[in-house]
Amino acid sequence: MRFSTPRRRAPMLALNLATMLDATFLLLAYFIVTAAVERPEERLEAVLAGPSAASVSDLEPVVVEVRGEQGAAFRVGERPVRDRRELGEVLARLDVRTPIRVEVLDGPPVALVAAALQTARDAGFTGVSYAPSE
Amino acid sequence: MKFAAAGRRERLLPLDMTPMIDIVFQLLIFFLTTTQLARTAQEFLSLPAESGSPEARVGSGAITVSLLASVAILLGEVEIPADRVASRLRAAAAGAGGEPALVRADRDAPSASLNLVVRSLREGGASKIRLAVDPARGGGG
Repeated sequence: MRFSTPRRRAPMLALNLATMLDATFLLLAYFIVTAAVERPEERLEAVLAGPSAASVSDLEPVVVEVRGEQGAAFRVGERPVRDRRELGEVLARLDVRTPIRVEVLDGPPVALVAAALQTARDAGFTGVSYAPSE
Repeated sequence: MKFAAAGRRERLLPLDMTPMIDIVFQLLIFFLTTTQLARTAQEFLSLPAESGSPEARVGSGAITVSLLASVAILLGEVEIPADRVASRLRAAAAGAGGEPALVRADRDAPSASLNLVVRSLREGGASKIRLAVDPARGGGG
């Protein structure tokens, strides 16, 4: 008995890879570009304080007022403070366990609010709260 | 016995790649377009130049509120009409169950807008906010 398979040629697959490679490279380029657009962000955390200056701590909170006035960007208690450097110097003299209450008036830009919160954090205070003007 | 497939024509598989490539391009354009739209709010923001605090690095916040320099306020990616800011943010904060909210505010936005956001979030039950800052700008502007 003879099982003969007549000459059978393998099916031809006309697979052009060039277009698929084009698409792959485009996807690659897309992901590279979008990954580069993302900018790293950090966060400043602040407790939301109520209208009164009541504190959960035994220590009386120090009020840092963000005013944004010419020559007095901040006010610590009754003392006008010119800029964030001076604010850092004033806060450095305080006990770091003292709660800091950052009171924000409606006028100044957000950058000054962030500067006050950051300066308090950098000075070592952990109890920093944000109190919007009522 | 003869097992022959006589007279059987060879089967040629004409694999046309064109429709698949078309679909790939369509998908690519779709994702490109939607990603650009989603990022619109982020593009318009110039965050305060600060280094941030280490304890706030974990987690992003239950809700995200963006404040543009143009005084527009967005909840997520949707702009809130000015007369509904307080009520919408109160409801969002109440739904977040006291989780800190992430506030992404333009450095030049007026603090009046930030105060409005903070008051509304506090009334909704939020106890903390996380203010987004940009450490790449030098950390101390």
